[in-house]
Amino acid sequence: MRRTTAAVVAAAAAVLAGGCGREVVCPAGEVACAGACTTLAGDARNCGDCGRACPAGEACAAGTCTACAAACGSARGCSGGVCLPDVAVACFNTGDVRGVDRDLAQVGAPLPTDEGPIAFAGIGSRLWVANSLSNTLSELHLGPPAPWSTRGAAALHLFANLGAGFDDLEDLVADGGLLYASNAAVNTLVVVDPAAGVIDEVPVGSGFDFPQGLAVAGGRAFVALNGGNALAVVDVSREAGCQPPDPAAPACDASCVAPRTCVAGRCQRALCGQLLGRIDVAALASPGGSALPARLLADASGARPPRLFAVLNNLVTSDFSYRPAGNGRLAVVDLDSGALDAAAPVLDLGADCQNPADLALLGQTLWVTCGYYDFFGTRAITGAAFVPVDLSGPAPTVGAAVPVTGVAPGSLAFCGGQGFAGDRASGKLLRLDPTTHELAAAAICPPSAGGLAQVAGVACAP
Amino acid sequence: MSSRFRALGPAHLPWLILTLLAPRAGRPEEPPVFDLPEQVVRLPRAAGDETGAATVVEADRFAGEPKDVAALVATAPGVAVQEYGGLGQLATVSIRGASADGVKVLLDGLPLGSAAGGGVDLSTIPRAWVERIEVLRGAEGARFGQGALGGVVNVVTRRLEPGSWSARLAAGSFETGSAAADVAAGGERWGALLAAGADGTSGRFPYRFDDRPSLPGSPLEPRLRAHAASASGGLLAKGFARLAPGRLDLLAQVSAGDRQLPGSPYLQRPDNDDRMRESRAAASARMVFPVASGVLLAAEALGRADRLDLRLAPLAPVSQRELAGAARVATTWVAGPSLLEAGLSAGGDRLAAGGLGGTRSRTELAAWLAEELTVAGGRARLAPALRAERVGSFGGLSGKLGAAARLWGPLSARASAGRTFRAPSFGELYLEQGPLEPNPALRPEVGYAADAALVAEGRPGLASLGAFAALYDDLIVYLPASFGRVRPFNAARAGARGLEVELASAPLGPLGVGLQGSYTWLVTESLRGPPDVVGRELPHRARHRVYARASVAPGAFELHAELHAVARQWLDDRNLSAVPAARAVHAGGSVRLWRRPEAWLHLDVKNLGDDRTLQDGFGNPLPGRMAMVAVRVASGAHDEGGRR
Repeated sequence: MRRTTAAVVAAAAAVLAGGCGREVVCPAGEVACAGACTTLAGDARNCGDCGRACPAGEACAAGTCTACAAACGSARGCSGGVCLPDVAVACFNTGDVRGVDRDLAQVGAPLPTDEGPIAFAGIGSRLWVANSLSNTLSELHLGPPAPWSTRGAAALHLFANLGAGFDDLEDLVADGGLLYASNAAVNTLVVVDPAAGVIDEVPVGSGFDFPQGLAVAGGRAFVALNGGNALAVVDVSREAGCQPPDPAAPACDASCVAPRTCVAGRCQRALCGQLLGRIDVAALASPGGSALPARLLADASGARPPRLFAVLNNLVTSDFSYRPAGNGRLAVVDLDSGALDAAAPVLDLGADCQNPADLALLGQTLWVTCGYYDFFGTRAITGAAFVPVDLSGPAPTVGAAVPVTGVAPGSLAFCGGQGFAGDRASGKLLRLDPTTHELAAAAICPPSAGGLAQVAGVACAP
Repeated sequence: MSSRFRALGPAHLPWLILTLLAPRAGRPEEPPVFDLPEQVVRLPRAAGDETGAATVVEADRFAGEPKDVAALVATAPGVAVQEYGGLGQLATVSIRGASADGVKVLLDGLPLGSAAGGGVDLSTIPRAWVERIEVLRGAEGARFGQGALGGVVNVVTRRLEPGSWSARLAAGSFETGSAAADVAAGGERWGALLAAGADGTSGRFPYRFDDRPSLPGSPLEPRLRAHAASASGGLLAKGFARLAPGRLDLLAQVSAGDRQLPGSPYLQRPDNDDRMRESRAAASARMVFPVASGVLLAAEALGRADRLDLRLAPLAPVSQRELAGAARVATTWVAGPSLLEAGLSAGGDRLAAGGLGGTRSRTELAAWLAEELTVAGGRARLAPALRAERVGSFGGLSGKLGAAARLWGPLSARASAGRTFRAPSFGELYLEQGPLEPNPALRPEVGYAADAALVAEGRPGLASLGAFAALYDDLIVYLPASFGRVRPFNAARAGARGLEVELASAPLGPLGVGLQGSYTWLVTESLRGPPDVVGRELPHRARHRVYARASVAPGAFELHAELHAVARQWLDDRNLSAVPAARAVHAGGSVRLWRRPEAWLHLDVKNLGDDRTLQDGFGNPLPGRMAMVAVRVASGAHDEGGRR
C-alpha cells in the first residue's frame, strides 16, 4: 500500500511540475533572442546572430556590424553609435514599433510594445504609443545609448473593458506636456501626466459612441464619437496641475475649503475635465449614410482662421454593410464659435476618396488619406488616394487627388517634407512626395503568426 | 434486466449503459446508498467509470434554495462557472482550464452543444428538472465523444418515482420568482413523469459603478442595472415501459427563454433593445434488452431542435436554426472479470444562420470500444477505452486508460490518462459577421490529460485529493486582422495543472451537522505565442476557487451557510489587467410546516454582506444582497426528510 501511495504521490508531483513545451512564435523574418523577437539584420545587440553585440560606435547593417555613419541611410544620421530613424511605424499585428529611414528601409531592431500599437504622440525627445488591444501606453526612446521601449508591467496602463471583449485605445495626442487618450472601450477621455500617471478621466459618451480621433486646442479637447456621429467637446483648461482623487482626504463632515470641494464624500480637488457638449455631425453624411467621424486635426496656429477638421468615414451602417455611402467627407468646425463652420460645414473629398482615414498638415495644405477595403465582398480596395485640401484661401478648397492602387492609406505624417502613410491592408509604408506626387512603398511590418499585417500608426521620429 | 447486470451494480457498468439506462430508470440510477440509523444519505461520488475524476452534485441537497444549474455545477472541484451578470443571464462552464467550447454538456446523455460553437449556456436548463449533475473532469472523448477536452457535465433529470409529486413556489429580491411542479404515475411495468418549471426576474439591482476606471481613487457612483430582465420555462416528459424483450425509455423536453441583454456597464445605452430569445425541443427513445447470456443490446435514437434569435447592436440581428440527431447502437458483454462494450453512432447536424454563407451541415460518425477489467481479486480495476470519430471532414481518435485500486480500509486510489479532440465549430469555420472573419482551414483542437487521486470513502463521508495536468494544443484563438477584424487560427497551446480537493460529510450527530466543500488550485500557462504571452496564465482562469458549506438539520428545521471565494483572474493573455479576488457569503434556512404532505418554508440570502461592487469575470456587475422565500410541498419519494 505504501508503494502504491508513493507512486501516486510521485506521479502527482511530476504532473504538477508542468512548464514544458513552450514555444515563442515570432513574426516572419524574425527570431527569438533571449525571449524577445528581433531582426538579426539590424539589431545592434543581436547582429547576425543572437547575442552578437556590435562594439560601441557601430551599427548593425545587413547582419554585420558597421561604422555607424556608413550604415545609416536616414536623414538624421548617426548619433552615439545609433542610427536615428526618420519615421516611426506602428506594426499593429506584431505589437512593435519600427524605425524607418527616408528611403523606406528599416533602421535598427523592432521595439516591442504591447498589443496593437495604433497612435503616436511626442513629448520632447520621447515618443509615446497607444496600444489599442492592451489599453497601455508605451514610451519609446529612439536615440543613444540604445533605443528602448516600455511594455507589459513597465507600460502605463489605462482601464481596458476586457470583460466585455472590447479593449480599444483609439488615439493619442500630446498638449502642454500631457497625453490625451481616447479610451473607446469605456467611452472616456483619459489625461496622463507622463511623470505622474493618469491624472484625470472624463466620460464623453455612452453605448457605442466609440471615441476615436482627438485634438486639443485652446483649452478644449475634441473627441470624435465615431458611433455617436458627433464631436464631444471637453474643457481641459484645468488639466495642468490636476491631481487625481485622494481616497485619504478628510471627509466632508464640515464645509470644504476652496479649491477643495466635496467629491465622493471627501474634501478634495474637483475633477478637472468637464464635458461641455457635443457637435452633431450626423447630418453631414450622404443620404442613407452615417457620418462616422474618425481622426481630427486642429489648425490653430494663428496663420489661418482657427478650424477643426474631422474626417467622416461616410458609410452605410443601417444594413450593417459598412460600404461607402458616397465620397469621403471632411467636417469643418469654427474653433472660435465652437460650432460647425457656418459657411462650409462639410467638404466633399471627391470621387477618388472613399472612407477617409487620417489627415496631416504641410504648410498651407491639409492632406487626407482615403481607401475602402471591401472586406466581406470582393476584397478589393477602392477610393484609395491622398487628397490635398488647400487652406490658403478664405475657404478650404479640395484639390486633385493622388490616387493609389492596391493599398489603403491610413495613418499619415509629414517628416522632412515627405508624406508617410501606413497601409491599413498590409504591412507597407507608403511615401508621397507632395510636390511631384511621386509614390513609393516598402513592406515594413511583417505578418504575424496568423499571416496578418497592418501599419496602424506613423509618426515623425523625435 | 438480467440478474447478472443488476448484481454488478451501477459502479461496474460502463459509461454508455449508465447514460442510456440509468438516468431514466428506477433504482439502477441511484448512487451508492448507505443506510444510517437516522436517515438515508447519498454520498456524492463518481458514477460509472470509477477510474475517472467525477463529482456528483445531488440537487436535493440544495432543495428549496435559489440555485440554478450553474450554481450547482460551481460546487464541484475543477470547474469554473463563468457568469455574465447572473440572474438569468448567460452562464458557461470551464473545466481544468479548458474553454467552454471544450466542455461537453449533456442532458440525460443528449449533447446540448451547438455546432455554432461558444459553449453551452447553462441558464437554458431549467433547474426544476434536475435530479443530479455529474461532473467528469479530464479528456473524456473516448467515452463521450469529441469536444470533451476539459471534461463533461451531464445533467440528469428527475427520477421517475410513480405516485410522487412536488411543487415549489419562490419569490424574492429584484422581482425574481420561480414556480415548478412535477408529478409521476405508473407502477412496476410502466411509469411516466411530467415536470414543468418557470423562472423570471426583472434583473434590476443597484450596484456601484466606476465611470472613471483608469483614474485611481475615483468615486464610485450608484447605478441601477437596467434592461436585464429574463424569463424562461420548460416542460419535461419521460416514461418507461417494461416490454417483453427489455425496457423502453422515452424522453421529451421543450424549453424557451427570453432575456434582455444589458451589456457592459460602460456601453449601456438608454435606447438599448438588445435581447435574446432561444428555445429548444429534444426527444429520445431507447430500447435495452438482453440478447444472450451476459450480453445486453441498447438502441437509441435522439434528436434536438434549437432556435436562437439575437439582437445585439451594432451588429446585424442573428437568427439561428439548428437540427441535430443521432442513432446509436451499443452492446455490452460480461465474461468473468471482463466487461466489454462496443458501439456505433451515426448522426448529423444542420445549422442555418446569417453570416454562415448558407445552411451548413455535417455528418457525425463514431465507433467505440471500452473494456472494464477487474483484477487482483476484485481490488483493482483497469478501464481502457478507444473511440474513432468523423465530424464532417474532420477525423480523430480519442483514447483513455484508467485504473483504480482499493488500498486499505476506506482508502482507494485512481488514475487515468486520455487524449481527445474538438472539431472546429461552424462559427469558427464559416461565420463572417461584424468583426469576425472565418477560417475554413482550421484544424481540430487536441487535448491530453492525466490525473491521479487518493479517495477516502466511508460512512462518515467522502474525501478526495487529486492532481491533474492537461495539455491543450492547436487551440483556436481569434487574432487581430486588418481593419479591426479578427480571424480564428490554430495558434495557441496551453497547459493546465493543479489540485482538486473534495470533502462531503454525512449528517453527523443529533444536530445532523453536514460539511461540504471543494477547493481547486489551477495553474494555467500559455505555451505558444508571442514572447509576452508565453509563460503567462490564461485569462479568466483563477488560481484558487473555494466552495464551503456547513449545515445543521436536526429534523424539523435546517440552517446552512456557504462561502464562495475566487482568486484574482487575469482578463488578458499578457496578464496586464485583472478582475480582483471576490468572496461572497450566502446563508439560509428552512422549517418544516407539515409532515403529510411534507411542506417546507425556505429563506435564503445571497451576498449576505451586500457587496455592491462584485463583478463577474467579465466586468459585469453582480447583485448585492438578495433574499428569496420559497415554499415547497412534496409527497411520495420527494418527502424523505426534506434534504438528503
